[in-house]
Amino acid sequence: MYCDKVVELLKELERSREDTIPPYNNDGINQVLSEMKTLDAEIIDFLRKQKDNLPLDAIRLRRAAIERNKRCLMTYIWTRLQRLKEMRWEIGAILPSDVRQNLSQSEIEWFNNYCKTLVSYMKTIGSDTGLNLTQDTKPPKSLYTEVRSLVDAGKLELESGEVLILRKNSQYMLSRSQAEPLIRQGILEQVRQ
Amino acid sequence: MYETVFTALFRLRRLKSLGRLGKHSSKTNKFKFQSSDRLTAIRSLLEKLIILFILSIDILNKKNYKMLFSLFPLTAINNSITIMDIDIRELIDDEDDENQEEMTAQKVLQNVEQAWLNEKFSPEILPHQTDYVECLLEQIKGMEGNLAKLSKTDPKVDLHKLELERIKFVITSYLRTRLKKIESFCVRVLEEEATRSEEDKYLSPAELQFAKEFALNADNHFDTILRHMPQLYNKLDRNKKIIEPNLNSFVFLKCNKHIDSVIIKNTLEGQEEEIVLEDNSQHLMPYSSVAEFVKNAFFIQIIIYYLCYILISTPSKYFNIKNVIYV
Repeated sequence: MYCDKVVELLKELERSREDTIPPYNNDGINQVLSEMKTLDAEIIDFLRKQKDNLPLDAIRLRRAAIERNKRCLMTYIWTRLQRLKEMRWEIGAILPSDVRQNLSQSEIEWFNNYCKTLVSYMKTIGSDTGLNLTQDTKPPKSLYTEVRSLVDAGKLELESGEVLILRKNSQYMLSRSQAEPLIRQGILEQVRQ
Repeated sequence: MYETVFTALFRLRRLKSLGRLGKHSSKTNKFKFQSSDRLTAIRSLLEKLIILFILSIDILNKKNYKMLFSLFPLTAINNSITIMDIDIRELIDDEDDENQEEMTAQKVLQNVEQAWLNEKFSPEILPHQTDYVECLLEQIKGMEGNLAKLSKTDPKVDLHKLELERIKFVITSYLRTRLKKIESFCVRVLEEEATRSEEDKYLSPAELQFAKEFALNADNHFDTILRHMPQLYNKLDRNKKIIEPNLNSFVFLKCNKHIDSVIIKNTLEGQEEEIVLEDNSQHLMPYSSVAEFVKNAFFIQIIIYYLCYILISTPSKYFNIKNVIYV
């Protein structure tokens, strides 16, 4: 049946968790594209052969199938972009290699451009160095927050100039602004009260 | 003193922005002085000339307050350094009082907070408040500088720091919300922006730049796939990729100033109803009815965005994955 493959693609995407990106299914996309081409060729064939009584219904069906394929492919790409965009805000400009492997060339390009656009926007806020919008994502309840180190991360220079050595499984009180990026990178873990 | 200069300048800007809306035009050269003594008269005239000079910076340079920050560093607040012993307020009060608002740092913060809530709860993008935001950022920088000078054992330091963190959160959250809206409604926002005149753009220049680049980038990416489709089908038309904010969604709102007439359209029956919004009253109504008051100078405070919270990362119908799979 027409359009089966593309729906398969979308289901695969929908089944995955919202905060992950499944591998870019290049084969699947190529198959859908070739199906579209075949359908188009069939339509042109109809038009060439039978000039008098055109099989209108057959043509309409194929056109609808092409449109649907197109729509689904666009949705596939669009949904992936949304997830990628979320990742820029969550993880930051440098993607972990396992995510990077799952992206297509064009998606990596898009991501790099998006980072560039975002950074150049953030630089213009305020007068000199700009403002990092990916920080301060939650309303602060207290100045300090209790965190546990998940790895031996080594030295961390505090805002006050003191140096702290992060050891695995030990707990610290850190200022929120400093802990936040480290929590997002997975070095620290917030200890919930 | 510093505070007063700051206040006066902000008032002036405020007046200018009101003038832009066509309600009031600002004049600075209207002041009279009564003085019996000739010497005092000359002296006060000289002083006023100095002040006028400072105010004229405002007209020459849009980033006036930044210059002033460098002229009167923030440390001057507490140390009561008097540069000129005349209150700038006198000068400004000669103008009619109705259209004036105090613009202290406190007021700026309030305005930003209000802008933030409105931005957060309104379905469409609102006019930008970059002036206030930048002013607040300058203040934060100054306060951080001041805090660094205090001793670390002072209990006040932590309190102030927490307050600063809160203000920072408000600012970043405000700008983030705007970015999210720009991203979601990119095509639509750019189209609307193109029809607006230079003075009442909703986006700041930097945001506009961001929107344009974002749209271009997305189009390029779509094109890598569209390119391989058969002719006739290898374009994505505007109507399909556009995402529209739902202007008819309902909002809870609080009215800050008395508004004589608000028209509520009943789209089902094709009727219109006109109501009066009292000062401080609270209502639940479609956003579209009050949109212009939300945009113009803080007439209305939206409290909750009520129906269908679909604002962030709303797919257009065309792109909605659930719609596509389960037809």
